Amino acid sequence: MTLVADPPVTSDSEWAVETHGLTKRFGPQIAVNDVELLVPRGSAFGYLGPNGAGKTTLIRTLLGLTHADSGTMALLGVPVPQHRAVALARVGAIVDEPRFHSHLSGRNNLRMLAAARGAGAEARIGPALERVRLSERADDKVSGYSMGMRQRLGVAACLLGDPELLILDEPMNGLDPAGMHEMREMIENLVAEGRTIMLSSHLLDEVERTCHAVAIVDRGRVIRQGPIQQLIRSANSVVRIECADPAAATSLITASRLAEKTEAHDGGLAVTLPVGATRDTIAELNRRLVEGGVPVYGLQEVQTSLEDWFLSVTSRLGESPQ
Amino acid sequence: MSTTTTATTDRGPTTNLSADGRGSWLPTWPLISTKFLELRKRRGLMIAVLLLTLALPVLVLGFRLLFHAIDPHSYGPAGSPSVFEALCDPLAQFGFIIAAALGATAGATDLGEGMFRHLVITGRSRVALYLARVPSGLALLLPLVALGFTFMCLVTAFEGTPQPTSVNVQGVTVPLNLSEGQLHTFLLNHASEFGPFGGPVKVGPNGSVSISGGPGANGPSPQQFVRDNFSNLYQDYLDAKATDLNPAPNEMIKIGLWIELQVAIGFIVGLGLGSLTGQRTVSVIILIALQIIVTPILAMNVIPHFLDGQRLIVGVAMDQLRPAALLSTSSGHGPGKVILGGRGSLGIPAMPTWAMISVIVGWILGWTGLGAWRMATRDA
Repeated sequence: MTLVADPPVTSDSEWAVETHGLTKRFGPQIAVNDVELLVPRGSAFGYLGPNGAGKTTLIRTLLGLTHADSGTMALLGVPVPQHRAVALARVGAIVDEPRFHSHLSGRNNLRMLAAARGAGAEARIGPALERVRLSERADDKVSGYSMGMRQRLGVAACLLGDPELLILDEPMNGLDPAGMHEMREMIENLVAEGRTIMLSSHLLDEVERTCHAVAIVDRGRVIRQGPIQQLIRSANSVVRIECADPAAATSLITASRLAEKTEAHDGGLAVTLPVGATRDTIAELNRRLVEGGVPVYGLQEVQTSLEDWFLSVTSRLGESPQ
Repeated sequence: MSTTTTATTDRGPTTNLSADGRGSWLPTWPLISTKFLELRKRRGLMIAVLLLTLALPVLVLGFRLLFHAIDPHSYGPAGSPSVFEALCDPLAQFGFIIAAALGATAGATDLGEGMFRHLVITGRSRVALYLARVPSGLALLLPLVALGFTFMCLVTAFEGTPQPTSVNVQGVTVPLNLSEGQLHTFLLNHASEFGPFGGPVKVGPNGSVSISGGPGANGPSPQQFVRDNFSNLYQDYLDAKATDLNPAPNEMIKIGLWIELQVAIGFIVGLGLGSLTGQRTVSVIILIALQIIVTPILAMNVIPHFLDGQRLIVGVAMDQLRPAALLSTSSGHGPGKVILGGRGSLGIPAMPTWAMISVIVGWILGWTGLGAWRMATRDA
């Protein structure tokens, strides 16, 4: 609480979000556990984890909606909560389901937020509404809005501050396929303008389509982070083999020590190759089988999706993400 | 959300960051005006505010004006001192309650309706967000109360009963508008008009003054009688004025200020409690109970060993501050003239003036501080 404005802060940090050892407890429960997170500027970054993994708590902590128990964090290179007002001046965020005063119109809700933003935010209301295609319904009461419209109004609220960083918590929630498509386009456009998007989600497919980099969180702890393709490459690849004699083929593959695991799969075999295996390894597998007298009808390398990888690294293998 | 629609900004985001004053705890005009808008748009609440502030006197006096205009023989003038006093009390009581409801709404609904989180994310000081609610709510309430009260004053002054030029004090006709000193001189000069009564002056249960043992052949001289009983005669003079006369303009202003203060306190306490609990309904129920149950009990009955505790209730202090012209003749307790000319209407021993002021200021500052503290520390 200061009587005068905080001094301007110029930040050259390459990270839009940076946390070190960030921890948040609710009694004995650790919701955010020693999180080390680096979100590069100018990218779409996914914060991915199953329900209850602590995604929303991390976002709430970053935004000063709740306090951290330990650790440090910075938004756009500005330490928070020490310079929270300076940092949040260029941050927009949706946390949880976007809710507004239902007795007010969308425009009037934005006017309230623009008043709190200050610094020309009022002038951005019209363009923001137009951008999220709510102009025609802007003067209707929010009580008449659908969930998708509220999400879009939430995005418009984020844009009032001309943000450099947008933090979106489960932005696809409640959206129909068309709405999800629009949201994806919106995120791409915002990134193209040089903004950073950090979004949390449990929708693996959406994160894979939208984001350049990702952090996987499980039980409050970040267990992997980096560019998606790089992370996927670090996973085991799988080769599906159709052959005349799967039992003999299994013996030959096991003896070759080329695979980590061989399982029967849909009349053929699913062979898990070690991390770092190349296509030459697949060719070598084929050669061993043919030389061992097992006719091979087909050989297909299965592309690892983010979902496969996610399931392989999180501790909840038996629980399918929603 | 189209790729071709107008961008929010044509330039890319900058890296020169500034809080542009949003860390300051002082509320800005846009914050105040948009909160005013948010409260004003609550239709149900606004109807209740209008009914209990402006509509209450307008409807009562409006009907009296109408009936008098239609049938002046059956219906007397719309305004009278008794009607004026009868309307002031409900205006103050209902004003406090509806102000508390508005305050609790202002204090709790941002949180309950999910808007608090959006506001906090803007980086604006939470204390500024809280403090902006005070002028917003008062700007809604006080003008409405002022309008309703002004209407009461106008009807009382211009459509009221004809005003006498003198009042009767124990059989002596006394001109109006005498100061205490002037009355003393007047009564000394007209002491012989009291006549023999045979006993000392006594104040009856209804506040009327009966004089026995007055000046007479065997009693004190008339002048001595006046000197001995002047305080009771002065009280009788004031009561007669209150019954027969409209309050003077300066008294009306004092009453108006007292009602406005009552309403402002209701709003500020409601705002603080709403922010503290995060619950509008619970806060309103608590404050209604305080105003119509707890305060009257504590203001009229001495609880042994708890007198100072009773005096800490803001309603008790406000009762003591009640302007003289608002006192019915049945009351008359209190420590003498204090701010607004009040002599108190308490049934308990009055507190010193400084203590009364401290209680009122303490409630205003205390609840504001509590509400702001809770808002600043609450998880959003």
